[in-house]
Amino acid sequence: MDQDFEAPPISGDEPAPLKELETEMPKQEGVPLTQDGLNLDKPASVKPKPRILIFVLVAVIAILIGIMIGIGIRTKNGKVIIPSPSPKLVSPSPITTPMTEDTTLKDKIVSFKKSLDQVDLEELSLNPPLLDFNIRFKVED
Amino acid sequence: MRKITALIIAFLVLFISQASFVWAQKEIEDYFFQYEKYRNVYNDFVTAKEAYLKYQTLTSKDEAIETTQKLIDQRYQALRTYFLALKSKLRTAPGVVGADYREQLISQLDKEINWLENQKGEVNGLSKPSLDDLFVISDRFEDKSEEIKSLSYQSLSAFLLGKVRSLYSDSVVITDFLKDEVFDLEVTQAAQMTDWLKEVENKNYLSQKEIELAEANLELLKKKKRENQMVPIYHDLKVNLNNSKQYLSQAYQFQQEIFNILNKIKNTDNSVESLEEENGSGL
Repeated sequence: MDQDFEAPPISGDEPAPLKELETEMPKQEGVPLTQDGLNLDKPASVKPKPRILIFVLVAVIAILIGIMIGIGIRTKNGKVIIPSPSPKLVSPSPITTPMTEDTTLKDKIVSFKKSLDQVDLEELSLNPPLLDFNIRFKVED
Repeated sequence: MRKITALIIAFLVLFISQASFVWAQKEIEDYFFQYEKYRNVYNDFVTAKEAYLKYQTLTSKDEAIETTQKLIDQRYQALRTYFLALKSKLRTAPGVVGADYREQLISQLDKEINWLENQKGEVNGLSKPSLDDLFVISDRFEDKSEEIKSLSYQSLSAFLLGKVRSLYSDSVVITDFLKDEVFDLEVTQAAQMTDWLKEVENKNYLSQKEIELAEANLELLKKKKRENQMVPIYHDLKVNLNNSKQYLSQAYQFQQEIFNILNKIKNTDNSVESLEEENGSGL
């Protein structure tokens, strides 16, 4: 309030030359600090530590690979197949069913039934392969 | 920083658990592919062998040598991938045999896989072999045939036995839960439910007995050296396991009935219909 202000020019008078505003902070030696001790010119969030960036990058890569493998994208005959989720992994939503003791038992019974249906004791595909162990032959003269 | 670390660990755990399942599937598919390839190579070998025996020309001889070499190589490859598939099945399937026996089987499979890889390398390393050279290598494989078959049947039996054991454990856990529920009922209501639970326990018991018979058959299987002795035992073992599974299916039916009656008594939200709908089957 103690500063002196120039009076605005009265209409019709020659306008007073504009004073060039100083927009840049004068270069000071040392780091200016506020009363709180914070450096306002160099906020900490502007330059994150490279270590954190690497961690975030690794996490993103791990998530992407995990999702890719998790949902089981497999290529077969040139086509990408995304199988439907295994019935074993599908459980009733906890939002629609109250989490009581009965619900837990119900889940166990439902899961047991699914396991019973899924167990294939034939496993024909994994029977030992039929290999010809003796391939020797003789040429009769 | 801690949150990020926790997030990374959580995703790594998810990644590893999912990856092991997909890996097992991949190895089985790889085995199917290699076995199919073996059959094709075998057909080529038979054709070339017959041509050589018939014409005995230099061309047909070279053709026979080439297809024999390919056949031996592919035979190793098919069996190697089969053992890898068995190994991943043993590792990923729940409740597979005792930990010691599982590790023993996996160790034997690893040993055979290494042997097959070495033999494969030797065959591929031969330049311009004679038929006799190839037959000498093939004879080593033939000498191991019974050992290979024994390991295959044992691994397969252990894997199937583990599957049924896991089902049996689930049934016992559910029965115990139901027992606790019945225990909380009034005396008159509990009497009937207790009788029904005894029926469930009986089915569990019968299932367990069949599992024990299957285990005895597995012990017997371990002692057999010849395939014609192994196959009937393996067949009996599968019959035992099928019977065991049948008893567990009956136990499930009873458990479902008891659960529904309990819900009626308690008049909770878990209605009979809701369970039936989820199972897609009625009582």
